[in-house]
Amino acid sequence: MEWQDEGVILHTQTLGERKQIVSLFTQSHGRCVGVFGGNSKTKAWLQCGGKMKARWGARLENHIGYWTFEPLSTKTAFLLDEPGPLAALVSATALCQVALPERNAYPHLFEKFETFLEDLRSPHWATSYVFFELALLEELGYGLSLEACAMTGVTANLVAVSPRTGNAVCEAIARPYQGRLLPLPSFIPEKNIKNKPHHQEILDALQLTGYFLERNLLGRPLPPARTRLVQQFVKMRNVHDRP
Amino acid sequence: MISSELKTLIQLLSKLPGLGPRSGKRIALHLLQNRNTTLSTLTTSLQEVGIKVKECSVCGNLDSQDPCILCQSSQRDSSILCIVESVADLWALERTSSYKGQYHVLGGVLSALDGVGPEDLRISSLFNRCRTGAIQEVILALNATVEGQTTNHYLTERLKELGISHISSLARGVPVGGELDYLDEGTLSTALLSRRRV
Repeated sequence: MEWQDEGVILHTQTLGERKQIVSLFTQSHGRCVGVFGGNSKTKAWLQCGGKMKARWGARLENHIGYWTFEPLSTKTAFLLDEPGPLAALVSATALCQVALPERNAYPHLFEKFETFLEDLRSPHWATSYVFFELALLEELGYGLSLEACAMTGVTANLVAVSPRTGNAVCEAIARPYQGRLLPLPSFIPEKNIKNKPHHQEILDALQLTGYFLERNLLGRPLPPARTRLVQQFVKMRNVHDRP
Repeated sequence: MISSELKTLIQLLSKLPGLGPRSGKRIALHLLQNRNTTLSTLTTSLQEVGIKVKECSVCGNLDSQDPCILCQSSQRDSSILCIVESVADLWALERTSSYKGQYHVLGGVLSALDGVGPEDLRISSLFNRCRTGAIQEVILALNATVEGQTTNHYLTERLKELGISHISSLARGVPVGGELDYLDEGTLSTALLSRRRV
């Protein structure tokens, strides 16, 4: 059997001397794995985040299969000198690699992933990353309810999220439970992706999504690449947000 | 048909990089047909390399001396340190004959998904070398891959904390003999950004 699709490289692993096992997040077939037997020139294409026109073929559907690639665009080269966006790219691909089940299509998430990849070269890459993690949670069935207060129904002044239910609450409701709720940065309920919040707000957002990714979605510690991204933001906060 | 000793030799040869069972057989036959010239000298050489060649305790290079000949050389600038991923990269840079400083072989690059962390690489020994105060400049000569550049950023942060202010990395751009039409947009863009006055 054989199919063609467009996809983004999530992970590569050397197989033998020249071959690579490539994990690709495709538009219509979800995350798929296959063997790519390239040479040293084609190996250079296989950087995570690279978009490919891919053909997958195998004798039987449950075989690992072989890839044939034609590179469409490589965002990675633009990011190599940018520690923040590069860490975000590695974190997002690592999360997709560990969280997405194989051969299940998530076209909506793929769209969000592509938007995030486009945004990596923009000033609002950090907010775009947060919205991608929220989309990942939602697509895999663990979406957070952040549009209105779970108790009062108001849509303004939402400041915290219950770690038990994943529902947002307004300031008046959150006040007695201070310290026990997860902070909700204002740019999330506003859905303002072009916003450029303080690094502390991004860290709060990453704490929020990280909590639910670890507890609900993965059931194990977050990938080291995600931890490294948080460390990157802590460093940026210490440099830029210093009073 | 084939003796067990010969079978073992063919199996071992066919596991070497770039070789398969057919090439293994060809090499084994060649060695046996040239016992006096090739086989005996190869056996001696393999034994010597196995006994004498070790990893340099300072830089991680492979040599029969410890510290290696590069670390011991008085003609090399000991204030400049070039960080490479593997010994193969060190040899590649030595081929250029244009670098006369010291080296440090990391033994890999950071890779979150493959579970390679700083503790799996020769990073602590690198920091120990930098703490002595003898190193003034560090050149990061790692591959232009996502893992290579992630390692670059990690090392840059840590080396700055150690007080190394002069840190550089290899340039990226148009290779010698490269045609612009065939280059990807990322490489071209990097080449444009790092253009130099002529």
